[in-house]
Amino acid sequence: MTVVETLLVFLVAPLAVVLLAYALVMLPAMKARKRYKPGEPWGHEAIWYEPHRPGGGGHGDDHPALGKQAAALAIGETAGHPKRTAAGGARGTW
Amino acid sequence: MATELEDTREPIVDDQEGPKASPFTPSELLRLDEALTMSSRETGLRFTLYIGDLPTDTRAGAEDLHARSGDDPSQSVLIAVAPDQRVLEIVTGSAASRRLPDRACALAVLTMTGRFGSGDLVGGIVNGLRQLSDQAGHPAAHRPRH
Repeated sequence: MTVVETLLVFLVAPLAVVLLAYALVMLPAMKARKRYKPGEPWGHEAIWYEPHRPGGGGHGDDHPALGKQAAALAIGETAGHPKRTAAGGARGTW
Repeated sequence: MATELEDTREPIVDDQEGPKASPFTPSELLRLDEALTMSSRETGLRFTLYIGDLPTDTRAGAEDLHARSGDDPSQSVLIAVAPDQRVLEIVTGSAASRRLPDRACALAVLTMTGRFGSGDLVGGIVNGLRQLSDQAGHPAAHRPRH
């Protein structure tokens, strides 16, 4: 076994295996979308999720008033709903 | 349209295109969807989740949103998360507040903000919903006994 062969088998080959494992672990994480971090700007549209109806259907087919973002985007326009419906709740910050 | 929507296991919001379509991955959306639907089904209340900016007076803004939450607002519970303002508001309607007293909401808020602080929005929301629905219980338990 020459010196070159020794280096290839005992140095380069293990290093290649380690680098491959590293790449397999790190690449998906680098591709994943950015997670929310407190203090960083959110940068997404306002969005309002609602539960599915008990009878199926879903997707707000029978009440367009609360369709996805529609109601969310209407913040600030209080004219249509003067009636206060809130009775309780809680508030918190982080 | 109805043919592909018959099985509604898909995320609630999925019809938006573009890079800013959704702040969550499909699996996160599925978790949120399931948490919202299951807690609403178990309790008979209607939990909705708003994520986005609120007006400066966050409480008034959340209560205003609650007033428009469709159907019967007295039965609905709004969870409003404002990631930019780092504020969480839970608003209950009159019927919902009897099953979910403010103290229970405050406990859920504490759970949720703890997770939000570490950057786990979805985990916080799912856990908070679980806590709220546990507290509210099943509607059958609240019927008058004969």
